[in-house]
Amino acid sequence: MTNTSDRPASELESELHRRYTQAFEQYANLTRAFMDQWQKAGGAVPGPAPAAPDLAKTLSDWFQRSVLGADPSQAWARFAGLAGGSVAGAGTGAASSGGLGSGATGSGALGGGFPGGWGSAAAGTAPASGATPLEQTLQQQEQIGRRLFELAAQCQRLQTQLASHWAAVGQRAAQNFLGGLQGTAGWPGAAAGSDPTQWTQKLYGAWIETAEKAYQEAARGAEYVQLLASLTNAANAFKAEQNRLVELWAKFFDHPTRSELDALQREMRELREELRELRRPR
Amino acid sequence: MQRLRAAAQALGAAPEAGAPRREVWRDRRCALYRYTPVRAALLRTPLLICYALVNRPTMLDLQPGHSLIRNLLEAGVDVYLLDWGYPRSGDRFEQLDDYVNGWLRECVGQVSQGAGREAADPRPRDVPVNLLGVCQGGALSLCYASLHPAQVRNLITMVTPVDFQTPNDLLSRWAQDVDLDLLTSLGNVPGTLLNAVYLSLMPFRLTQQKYLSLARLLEDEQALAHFLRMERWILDSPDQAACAFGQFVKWFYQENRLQRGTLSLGDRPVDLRAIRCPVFNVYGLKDHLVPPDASRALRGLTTSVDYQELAVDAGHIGLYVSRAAQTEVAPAITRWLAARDG
Repeated sequence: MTNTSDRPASELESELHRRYTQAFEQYANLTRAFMDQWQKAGGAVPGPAPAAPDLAKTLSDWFQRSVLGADPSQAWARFAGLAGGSVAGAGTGAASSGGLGSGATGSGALGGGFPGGWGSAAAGTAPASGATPLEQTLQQQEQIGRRLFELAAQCQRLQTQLASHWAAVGQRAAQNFLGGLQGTAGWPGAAAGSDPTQWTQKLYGAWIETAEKAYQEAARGAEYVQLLASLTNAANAFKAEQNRLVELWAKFFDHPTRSELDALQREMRELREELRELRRPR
Repeated sequence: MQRLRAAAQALGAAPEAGAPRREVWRDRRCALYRYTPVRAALLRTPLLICYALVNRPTMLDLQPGHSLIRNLLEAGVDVYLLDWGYPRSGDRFEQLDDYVNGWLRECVGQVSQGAGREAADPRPRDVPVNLLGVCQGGALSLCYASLHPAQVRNLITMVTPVDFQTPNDLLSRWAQDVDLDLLTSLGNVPGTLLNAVYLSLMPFRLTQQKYLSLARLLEDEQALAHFLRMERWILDSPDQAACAFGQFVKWFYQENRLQRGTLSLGDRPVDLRAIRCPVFNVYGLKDHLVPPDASRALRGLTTSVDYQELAVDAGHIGLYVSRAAQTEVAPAITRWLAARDG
């Protein structure tokens, strides 16, 4: 009798710790910005950007960092072994290479498991016909390497586009939020002597509402849907090429390959299906 | 932070909070459990619960006071649960047909025969069962009831998508252009990946705001334990058998075959019109994963003359764990079943 997860409690603990710390840091940055702005404006509500450029930028950056932290495209890239991190910051004009940049070239993109020099040494030297098995394998590795390079570059382009997309959405959300506050006489709930933790929490809640609404609209838009699908497919293609590379060398060294295992597992499934049918009362 | 760590450690060391149950059948990783009755059976017909593949069924029995299963047991329902387990890499070629016409069919047979019941139990054996499908498990239950209508006495679907392409369905939008042949060629789909996708449906609430609320819970031991149980459930998504996952996303999300009547499993067409038994369709009005319209689409697709809906003012998970749901959902299900148990 078991109802337990196969994931250890320590995993839950460290994951929760990470999430809690991140969320709290994000919250602290935001409330600090609210309070700074409030003090600068003498308790009055700041206007939308550019009237309150500091706050608008803080909100916009917060939006982008939060989205990229949770963006499914990042998860796909990590799945494919492409991205170690996000491309946060691209929205400010400087597209970061994130986890892709250096890893996209040479042996890095191949997971570091194969010396990049082998591929380049083989290029142009191995004859097209009459090549030894090693030369043929090196030729194929070279082709796969080129494809990996193209796919990594494609993924990076798409990630940068996504980051720019979210930066624009974040800026709009920040302006909407500050614009929405304009109808009020001062910072909502904030007055001399009032408890800042209370009114900043209310502001934070209102900002979450605004940000979520902006996100929901953008996430349903054709542009984002297309970008997400393209990045997902490119990241998966990258992983498929990595698998081809492993398969190539497994064959060369006469080790069991993924396709051989797949064939066995397919057969096992079919046998189980037949067995199931045979056992079934008629 | 120390309190959080201590509570997480205590939860890890604590015994499971689920209702007592016994395994009555197993085929590799798939198991059928019968929950220990807490009172004499009110209904003659046992109830088999078929949960989704993408999460663990712990959610149905999170802890006392937040448990659909305990509420059903206390109402006198004989409850069985099909647990799909955790697919391993060797399971990557399992197909939806294996789930529906294999394991689910086996479990319906076991429940029908009264597996795990005392020999003296006077209730008849070899009878049709009540089937309750949750979310994706509801879609699988609809397939089953279509293919094997004589084996299902009453069908309950909970937060079950039927039309997979309603305008508010964000998951569906994202799934439309994904190359599934390519994805599933890479092996099983990691549960962590699916988790990231679910969280990104509402990123600010689910990855930011929610964790700040944790600060307020640190002083309340029970609330903190509840929060942690929820988190453990969220983080515990099983990896998905590649082939079955690809079939589900392609056939249901991309091609909307269930709603369009073009789905086949094991070379047999799944025709929802073959469902003639009573149907009870329960959905959440605030469900962001399965929008109400996606569930309501079931109306008119079966030929049941006894079709009812229950709209609950809750989200996808709140429908099981919220305080309000405890007094609304299980009692409604029990009443509905009792009226059809003759």
